[in-house]
Amino acid sequence: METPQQQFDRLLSLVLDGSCTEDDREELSRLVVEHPGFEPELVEALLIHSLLQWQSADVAAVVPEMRLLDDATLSATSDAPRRSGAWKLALVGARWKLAAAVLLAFVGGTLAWRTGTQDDSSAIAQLVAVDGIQWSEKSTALQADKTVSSGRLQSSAGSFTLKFRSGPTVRFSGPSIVDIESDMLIALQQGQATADVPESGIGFTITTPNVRVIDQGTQFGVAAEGDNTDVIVFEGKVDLQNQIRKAAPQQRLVRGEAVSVDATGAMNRIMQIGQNAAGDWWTTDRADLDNTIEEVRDNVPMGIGTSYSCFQIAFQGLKDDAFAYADHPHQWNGLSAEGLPALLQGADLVRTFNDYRYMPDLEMVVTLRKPANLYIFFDDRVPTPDWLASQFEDTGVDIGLDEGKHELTPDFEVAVGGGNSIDRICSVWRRRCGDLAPIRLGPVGPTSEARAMYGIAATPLEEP
Amino acid sequence: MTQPASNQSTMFVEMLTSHQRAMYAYICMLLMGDPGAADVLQDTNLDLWARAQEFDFERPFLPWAFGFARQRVLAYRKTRSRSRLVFGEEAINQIEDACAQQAVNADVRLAALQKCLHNLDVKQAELIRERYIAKTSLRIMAAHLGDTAHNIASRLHRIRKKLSRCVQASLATEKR
Repeated sequence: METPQQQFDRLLSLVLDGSCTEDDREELSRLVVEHPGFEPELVEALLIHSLLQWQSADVAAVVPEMRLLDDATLSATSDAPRRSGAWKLALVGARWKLAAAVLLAFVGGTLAWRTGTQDDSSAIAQLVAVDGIQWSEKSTALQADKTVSSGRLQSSAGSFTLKFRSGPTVRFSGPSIVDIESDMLIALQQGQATADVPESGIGFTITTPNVRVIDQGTQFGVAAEGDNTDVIVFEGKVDLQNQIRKAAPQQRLVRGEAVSVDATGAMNRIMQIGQNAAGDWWTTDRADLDNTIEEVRDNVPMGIGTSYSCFQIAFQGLKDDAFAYADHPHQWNGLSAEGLPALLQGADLVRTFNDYRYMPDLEMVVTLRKPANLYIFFDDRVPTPDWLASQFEDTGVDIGLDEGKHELTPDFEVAVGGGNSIDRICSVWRRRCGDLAPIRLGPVGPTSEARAMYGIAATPLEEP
Repeated sequence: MTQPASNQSTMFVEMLTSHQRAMYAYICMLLMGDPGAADVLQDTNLDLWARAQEFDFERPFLPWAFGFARQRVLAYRKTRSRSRLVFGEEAINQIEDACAQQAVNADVRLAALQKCLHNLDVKQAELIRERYIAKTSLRIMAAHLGDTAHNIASRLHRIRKKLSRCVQASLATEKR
C-alpha cells in the first residue's frame, strides 16, 4: 500500500517526465488538493523542472527574437507584424528563432555546463594574467595548473585576471577577496573587479554584500570596500538589484553611468572616476592618481535621464582612438596619419557626455590640481560661445572626432588611427592656468546644425 | 494600435527581454511542465507588447506581466481540455501564488541551479542531460539503461529533489 508521499512522488515524476496518463494527472491534482502540505514540494519541483527546460536550447529556440525595427526595415521584413508608429516590436521568423540577447546567456550557460559535465572538469575559469600578485593561504579555488574551481581567491596585493568558461574576462585589482560560485556568478567581498563580457556571457553576475550586478552585455566595474559598493559601466548596460533594500525595483545602468551603494542600500551618483594610462584600472579616490585635473562637476539635476552620469578622467589618456565621451563610442583622432598633435599627446583627458550637448543651461566647473594648460576641443559647426572666447585662445590647431555606432548614427563605425573616418572637426582652444582657481565652462550653445559636446584635456605646465 | 514612444519602446523591450526567464518559469509551472509553455510565452509576449502603452514604468513589471500570462495559460488549458491533459483548476488555483513568488526569483535560482548541476555525479548528470538536453524519451532511456521507464522517472525525480535542496541551500548561504 502506497503512502500519500510515495503516491505523490510517483505521480509527480510521471507528470514531469511526460509519461503520465490522464488518470495520473487527475490523481496528482486530487492529491494536491487533499493534502495541501505537498504544495511547497510540488512548486519547488515544478520550478526546477521549468529551469531545466529553459536551459535547453530547444526552449530558447522557440522564444522570439525581440528587437525594435524602424519603418523601412519593417517594410522589408515580410513576416513581421504591421503596426502603426515609428517603432515596432518585430518577432522575427515563422518559427521564432533563437535570438533574444538575454537568452544567449542561458544557451551559453547550458553549453558551458554541458562541456563541464562531459569532460568532468571542475574548472570554472583560467588564470590568464597576474601582476605583482600576492596570494593569501585562504585561496582555495586556485589549482596548480592555473585553473580556477569554485572556492575563494584572496590576494593582499597586485592584480590578476580570470577568463571564465562562459566567456567573461575579469580583472581583479588590489587586495581582493572573491568567492567563485560558478562561471556565471562570483561574489566580490573586497576589491575591484572589471569585467569584459561577450554576448555568450550575458547574465554574468557579480554580487557584493549590498548589490547584485547583472551584466547585459558590457564592460563594467565593481568595487567593494567596507560597507560601500561602487559600480560603473564603461560599455553596454547592467542591471542592479539592491541587496539591502530588497523591495527596491531593479535599476539599470548604461554606458557612462556609475553609482555608489552604501550600507543602507541608498544609491548615489559618483561624479567622477580616475583611470590609469592603460585604461585597465579605475578609482574613485582622487589621491590615487597624479592627474592634472582634480575635479570636474556639473550642474545637471538628477532625474532627467542622466542621473548617474560619471565623468571619466583618464590619466595621460589622450591618444589617437581614445574614447571622447563616457556615454558615446566616438573617438578623438588627429586629422592626418601622423595622429594627434604633439602638444596633446598624453594629456589628461576628461570624458564628458555627448548627451550634454543640447543642455542650454549647462555649467561645468573644472578644478586643477597643478598649474596646467587646459584645452577645450570645440565643434567647428557651432558659433564660438562667449564663455569660451573670453577665457580661452584658439590655438589654430584642429583635431577630429571619429563618430561610432550609436542610436542616431547606426551606420557609423570608428576606424583605427589618425586621419581615418573623421566625421567632425574641432578647434583646440587653450587656457594657461597658472593658479588653481576653478574654471567655469558653459553650454555648447545653439546652432541650426547637429553638434558635438566639447572635450576637455589638460597638460601640466612645465617646471620653470 | 497606439505604441509607446521610442525610448519607452526600447525600455519596454529591454524589460520584456530581461524577464523572459521568470515569465517562462511561471507559465511552465502553471502548466505542470507541459511542452506548450514556450508557445504560451510567445502569445503572452505579443499580448504584453500590444498593451505596452498601458504599462506604468513606476511599477514592477512581473506582477503586471503575470496577469497576462495567467490569461494565456487559462486559454491554453481550454484548448487542451478535450484531451484533459491538464492539471485540475482547483489545484492550479491553490499553487498559483506560490508559483508567482518562485518565478520572480527565477534568475537567482537559475544561477544557483547551474552551480548545483556541477555537484551531480556522472550518472546523475548523464540522466539530466539525456532528459533535458538530448530530449530522449523515457522509453528509449530505459532501453539503453536496461531499466524500466518508471524507474528512470523515479531516478529523475530524485535528482530534481537533490537539485532543489542544493538550490535552497545555496540561496540560504548567499543570504547569510
